[in-house]
Amino acid sequence: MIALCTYGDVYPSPFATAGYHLAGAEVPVAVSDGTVVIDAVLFRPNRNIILAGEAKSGTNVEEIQARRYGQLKPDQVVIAASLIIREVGDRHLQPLYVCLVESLERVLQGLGRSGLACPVLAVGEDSIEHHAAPFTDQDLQTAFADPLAVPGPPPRIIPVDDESPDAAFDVLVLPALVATLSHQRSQVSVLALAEQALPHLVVFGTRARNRLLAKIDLAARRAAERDPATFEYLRRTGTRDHAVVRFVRSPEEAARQGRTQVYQSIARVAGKPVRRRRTPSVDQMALFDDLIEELQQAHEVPEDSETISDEGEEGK
Amino acid sequence: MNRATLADDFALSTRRAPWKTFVLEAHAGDDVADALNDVFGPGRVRDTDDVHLHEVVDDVNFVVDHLDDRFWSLHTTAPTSVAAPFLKGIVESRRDLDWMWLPSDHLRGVWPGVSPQWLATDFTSGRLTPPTDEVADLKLRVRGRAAESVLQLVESKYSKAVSFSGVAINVADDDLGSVAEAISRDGRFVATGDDFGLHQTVVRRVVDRYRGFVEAVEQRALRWIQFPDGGAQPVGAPLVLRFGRSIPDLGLFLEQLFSAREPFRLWGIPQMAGDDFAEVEAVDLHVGQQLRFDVTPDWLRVYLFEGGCGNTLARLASNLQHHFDGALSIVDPEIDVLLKQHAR
Repeated sequence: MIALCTYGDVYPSPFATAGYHLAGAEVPVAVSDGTVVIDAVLFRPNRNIILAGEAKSGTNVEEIQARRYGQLKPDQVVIAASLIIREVGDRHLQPLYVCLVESLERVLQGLGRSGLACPVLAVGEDSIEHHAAPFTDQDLQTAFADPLAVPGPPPRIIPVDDESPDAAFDVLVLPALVATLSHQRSQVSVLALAEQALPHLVVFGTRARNRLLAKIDLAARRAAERDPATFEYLRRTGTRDHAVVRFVRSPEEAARQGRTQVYQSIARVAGKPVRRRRTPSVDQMALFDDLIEELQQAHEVPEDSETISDEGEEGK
Repeated sequence: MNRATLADDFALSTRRAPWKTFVLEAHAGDDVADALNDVFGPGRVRDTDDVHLHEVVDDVNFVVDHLDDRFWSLHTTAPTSVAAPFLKGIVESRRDLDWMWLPSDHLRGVWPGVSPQWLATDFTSGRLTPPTDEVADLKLRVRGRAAESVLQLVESKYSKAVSFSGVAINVADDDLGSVAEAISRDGRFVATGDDFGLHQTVVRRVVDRYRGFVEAVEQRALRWIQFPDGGAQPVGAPLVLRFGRSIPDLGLFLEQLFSAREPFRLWGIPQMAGDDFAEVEAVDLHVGQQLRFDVTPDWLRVYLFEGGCGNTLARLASNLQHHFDGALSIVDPEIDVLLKQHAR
């Protein structure tokens, strides 16, 4: 949903084109029987139209949640998301559900049971299709009249939340450790690690944030177990509010070539190499490269094995 | 030592040997003198009459002009073969200093109305792609008034393999005088002439054009504005580099791009999320910052986060121009204009 409002990407942005901007994410709003946390608030200021978006990665609609979306009043969202109203006149609000195309039927059934009539966008690998109720904004109705082609996956502005699987945190925590390591620090707390690994942490409420911190803590522990030559996990104590990861070695202490190799070894320990398609003529061309290199040896700077380029980087 | 004596030194020294100005991008904080002491070591940095000029007395002597507190000019008359490796050692060992990484078009037209007298292009696909490309390596040096026209001819057929790495121009002004300048894509200026002010103006124009690009990129960095009662508004967006050619072997490309090697120095473990799509949580080891990438054969999406340095994207774009696609563009038209701007 955020992607559909992101300007300047390869992914289409029909909401941005219609004049909407993303005004908030994970915005809690109190309704008569509880609270609903709106995944994305989209706002069209020149018409005072608010879309309260719920993004479903799974198949099930929570009926209570859907009913609460139906209870939302525009001005509640204006206040909760600190919207700036510049045009005099009524404010309008419409809920919007976005789901994966394979979950569409279940989502439509769930919305039917809850009595919420709202537009539903079904996201597939190649296109996005509009189902269920029409958009009250005629520009959006037109924008989604035909399936909207998409060139690939949308931007990952919020790559994980507190319900994401543990493995999703491993791929975020290790780069955060490596970034800290490159600054030659001796250790990093799990809290600092979480802020580094999850730039969107501030989006979440306290309970979700604590669950995210716990997941980061576990991921840090796993990173240290996988690579004890580089990381040591020190658990929380009476005098230490958060666990800490201590750096056993620093690539930055090595000479240039050794430094690159240490960074590469951290990646090797952590992950499988990317699947690689073989190009049949590579070996033959490598032989050709050797011949050219031999021919030019008298004139060229020796090859620097530390560069992407086969010939070094301009002799810098 | 002040700017007047520096100008005298320029006029005197360039009769014997060219003047060199290296531009470094610095994140030094408020006290530049302290930062210089940290960079070069205590006792090697001397004050001058001007608070924005410092002398460095080391294996190579420099005068550091930090009137622009982000893009420092390091002036020296030492040979480039000595000064460049010295600075390279310093830049590589720090996270708060970097080179300028001029996009190809920034070198195409440096001064309005002045045609280059010499142009260099340098395209080396190296390890990013299998060496079976239509043009895997292309290095050209063209000297003379028609230098630009010659390269335009090559570019009309092989634009993806044309990426400017150096330019030389003669700039003359009735009031200011004249300078001859040779400029490299990493912000190295070699000059001779009779007016230091004109030399500095040439440097400043190149830096300002580059700064415009880098700062616009930084304004796109993703950040979150928290609401008082929960939730937040995201500001900024990732930037997408669109290639003029498809990546022939995505696995090989990713393996090399995120191998922590020069010149990209990107560390990451690509996760294939389909045959033609990879997600990478990466670290820019030049500055020690975390980045996120989505990569397909036809485009690459870069997420820069709050506090991230625009130089990171400039470095990536410039190096991809030299090692993969000299004709790449940025999908966001406002940033693309700044990537491709040059004086006419």
